[in-house]
Amino acid sequence: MAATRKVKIGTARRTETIDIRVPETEPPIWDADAKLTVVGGSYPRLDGAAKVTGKARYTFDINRPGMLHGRILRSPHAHARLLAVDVSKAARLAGVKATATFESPTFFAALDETDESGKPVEGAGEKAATGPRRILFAGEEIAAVAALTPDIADDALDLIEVRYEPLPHVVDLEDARKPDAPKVFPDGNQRPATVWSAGDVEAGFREADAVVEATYTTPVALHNALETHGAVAEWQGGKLTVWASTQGVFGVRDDLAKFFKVPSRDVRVISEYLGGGFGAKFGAGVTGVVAALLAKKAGAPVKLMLDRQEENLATGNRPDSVQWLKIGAKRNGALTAIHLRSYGTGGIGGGAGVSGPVRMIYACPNIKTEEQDISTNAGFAMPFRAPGFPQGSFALESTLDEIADRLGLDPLALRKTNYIDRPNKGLMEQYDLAARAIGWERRRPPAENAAAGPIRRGFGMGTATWGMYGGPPADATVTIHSDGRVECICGTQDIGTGTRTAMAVVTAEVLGLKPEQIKVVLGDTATGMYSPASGGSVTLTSILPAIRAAAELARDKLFRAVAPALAAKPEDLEASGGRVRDRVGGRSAAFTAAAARLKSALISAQAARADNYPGVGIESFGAQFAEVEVDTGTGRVRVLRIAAAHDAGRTINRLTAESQVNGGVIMGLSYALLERRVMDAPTGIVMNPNLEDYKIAATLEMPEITPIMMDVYDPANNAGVKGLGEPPVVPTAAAIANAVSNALGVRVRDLPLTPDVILAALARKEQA
Amino acid sequence: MRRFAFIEPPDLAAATEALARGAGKAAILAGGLDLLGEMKDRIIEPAAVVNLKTVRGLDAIRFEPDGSLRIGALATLASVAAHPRLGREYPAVAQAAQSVGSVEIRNVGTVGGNLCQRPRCWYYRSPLHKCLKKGGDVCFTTVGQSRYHAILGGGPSYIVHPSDLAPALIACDARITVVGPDGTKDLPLEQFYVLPSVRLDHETILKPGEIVTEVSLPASASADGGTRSRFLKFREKDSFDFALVSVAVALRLQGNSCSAARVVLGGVAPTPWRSKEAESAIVDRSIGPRSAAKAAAAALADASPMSHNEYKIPLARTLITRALLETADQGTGLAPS
Repeated sequence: MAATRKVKIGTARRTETIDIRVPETEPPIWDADAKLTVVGGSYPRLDGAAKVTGKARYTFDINRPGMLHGRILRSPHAHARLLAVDVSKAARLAGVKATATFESPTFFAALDETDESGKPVEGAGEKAATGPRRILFAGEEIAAVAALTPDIADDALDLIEVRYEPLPHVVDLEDARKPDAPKVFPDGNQRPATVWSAGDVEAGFREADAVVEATYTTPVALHNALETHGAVAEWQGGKLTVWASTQGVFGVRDDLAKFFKVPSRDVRVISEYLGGGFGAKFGAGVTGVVAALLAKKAGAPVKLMLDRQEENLATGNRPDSVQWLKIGAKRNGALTAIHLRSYGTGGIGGGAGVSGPVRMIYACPNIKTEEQDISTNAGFAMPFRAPGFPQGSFALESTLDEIADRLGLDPLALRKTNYIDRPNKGLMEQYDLAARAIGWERRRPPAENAAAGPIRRGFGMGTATWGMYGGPPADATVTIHSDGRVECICGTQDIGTGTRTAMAVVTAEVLGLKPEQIKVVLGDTATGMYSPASGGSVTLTSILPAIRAAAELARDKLFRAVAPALAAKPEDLEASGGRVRDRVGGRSAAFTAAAARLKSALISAQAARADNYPGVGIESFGAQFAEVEVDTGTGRVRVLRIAAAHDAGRTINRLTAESQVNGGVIMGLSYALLERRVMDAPTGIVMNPNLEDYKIAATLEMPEITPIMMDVYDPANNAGVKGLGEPPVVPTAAAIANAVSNALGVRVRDLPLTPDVILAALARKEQA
Repeated sequence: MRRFAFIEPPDLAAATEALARGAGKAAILAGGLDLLGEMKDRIIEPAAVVNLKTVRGLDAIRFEPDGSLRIGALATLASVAAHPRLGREYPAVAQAAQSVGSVEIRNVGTVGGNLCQRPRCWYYRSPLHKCLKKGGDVCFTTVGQSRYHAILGGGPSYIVHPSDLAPALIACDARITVVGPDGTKDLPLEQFYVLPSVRLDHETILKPGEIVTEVSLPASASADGGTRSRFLKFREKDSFDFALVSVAVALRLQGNSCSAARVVLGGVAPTPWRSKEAESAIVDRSIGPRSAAKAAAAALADASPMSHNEYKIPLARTLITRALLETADQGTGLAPS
């Protein structure tokens, strides 16, 4: 049954009350009027001490009695037929306990992504069931061994004899588009274009006072989570336990159950601590399957952790992009049309689309987007923190700045002119907060900066948005023990964002306790409490409403147990400040004393995430402003400061939310300035599958970052919480590139902004 | 990594003997930073590793009564960077040592190891590419990715020499001492390095069994005010990176007039690259923005960029100009003109 509830939504600047339909069983939404005492504070991570002292055990730290070490042999060829694999010599090496070969073209087919009808998703891999397996990129898995030590496993790989028939390959995006390019898939390299449109862009351009068009490029980026992919697998009597470095324990469980044809109840997946994922660690993947396969063959636990090179060859990437953008605007900056044409390669995978920002951020009556995936003989793409958005944001925001320059408008004013207003949206305030923090009034037109000598300073900005809402299924249990201990249980994983602590904050809010008094149990499918994978910024939006509901049910049970002792009605009780209090009679008891009244050892309540409330849009927003310094003699870009104002609906833990913003900015900065996968076209091999030549910004590249978390009261779900995983990475590169262009007086249209790109842009300007 | 014999010689004689016995299959271990990388990537698979750290007395930094300086091959980069008198008299050398890698690397890395380190070229380091330097028949940079490669002195291989210390030491007129089965050699450090057109399998004249034991520098102080030096390094990122271009400049100045100059570039050629063109453009002239820029242009006049590294030319020009101006106290070249 649904009920209509009044909800006060908005921001500190303005609120309004609306009616929404919610399931009757839902607790009241934490809206603008909610008086919360724990939620919104700043709390250090509950596991912070364990992490910095090394007590936290990551997958790499798991060691089981009798455990073996697995290693994978990979193809050195970018494209080849796999004719024969002979592991007999390896199998005979002393200390080798199991070998496996992957000669069948369908060996890993059970892992392929399928659409709703069960049909493999286009580009997910070749499906030919007969003939020799075709190897589609350098780094594909050929065989594996498990041995007593990692060294023996390495030696065993050398003894595996493989016969390949090399085939012509193509790894370069532009080469792959040529008609005579080697075909990655039988139907060619150009996947069908995705076209989306609203209004009439040609009419829009005719109305425009200024039209700008330009082509932008972005590189293939690699996730490079600190912890590589890997798993420890152990079979006991037909049941499988896997410790996995994963952002989705339930997905790993289901993949393994499917691959090994066992019921999912016989597979347990544990991920108590995770060294990052960023989108590359959904599902069991080949690594998880091979670990479990070797363990099964050897009859012993197997640890299989990838090294950095493997990580950068075969576990995912962010596709590159070539984006042609044409934007028209009236003299006052009002947009009349945006036309985007783009293509990019996710290797043998897809996902090169970039149109999200164009379609979602600014008001424009006429928009057309045409996007195309190009197949190449390279490792498959995986979702990478805000898939498509950092690329799309870079091109869109750059072109908008170009329009603003052309029309003599302030870039921020141009964004405000094209603002899409909504009551539950705080972006206008975020613009003002971040602009004030960076000192936007110091921005000068490019021509004035160019007179400043070799070191030039510039300012730029960009807008963040993200629109995944989370949802069911997500289940949680809250248990109150008669000695006062409280457990919050959800199988979800903490990808590093502070999920564990946020779970405690919400439970503590409901029970009137402190977050550190809550014991959080997560990262284990055996809890039975389902959670979606931690991707798309949906973890907290999915699980916190369930946790809050479970905590309220548990609290109400406690109230019923303790009410007689306080001579109160259960509905008059409240829990706050570590006490249970009668709002009417005024008597109170300490929480532990109340728990001691329980007639059982514990009370436990379970609740499920309700559907998203119908008819409410709940995107997250943000605004980032950058101040940079560019040395025109060397082409060096230094980012001096980034101000980033964001919202995640109601902020749960201010400290970890700010950390999330810092992390997104750091990742976006690194993408803007340094990161690019380099492919050797003649050999089809990745030249920088390491952290020396795949350059990632580190301590000395860090700017001063000002994270500003703003509360937006949104009817998102009963906790009023929205996603913050992806938004902070969306506009960073765009803001930096705009600041660089502002400093130099010439557009920089290619990421990353390494010295060669800057010096070439300056040379172009000199010629012009 | 393959298994290997680990040899801990008591003295230099035993070390050279062990290396000679290894007949090219024995490797020298000092700090081990480069060696371990090469072994892990299986670029080399030595049968024996000879640990020089068991030989005493190779890590001294010592000023002689005549003011000259001797730096043992096993002196760490950190100790070079932190030596007060060295820093005063050979600032370029201290600055170069300080610019290497990270604190951890400088604490472990040695002077000898830095001078003898192998190229960072991604084809050389790739186990999947049998390049010219590894006995293959193609320098892959000529058909592939060359953004970090040579613009001067290249061919048939286009690696760049990665050492920061070498350009600084050559600018300060260093000599190097090599001990081997045939005795002891002492030669200018500049002549220690050889272009790939002369030798492909190594960047130095070192033969199997030979060990670098010391570098020495002539006295810096003199009646006419001495030699001033400076080292500038430019990299894509400041945290843990090799030079895209570095430059070491040593000048003998009278007032603002330059009576002698050494200009040595790193990161642009298969060896540390001494630019006599830049030197003669600046000698007997007073140093200012125009003369410095002229010298910089002269240094790059013969540069021939590859497909992806043309940017190194303006970059090197900027660094040379700035290093000259800064060394002569003529500002940083950064102020508005």
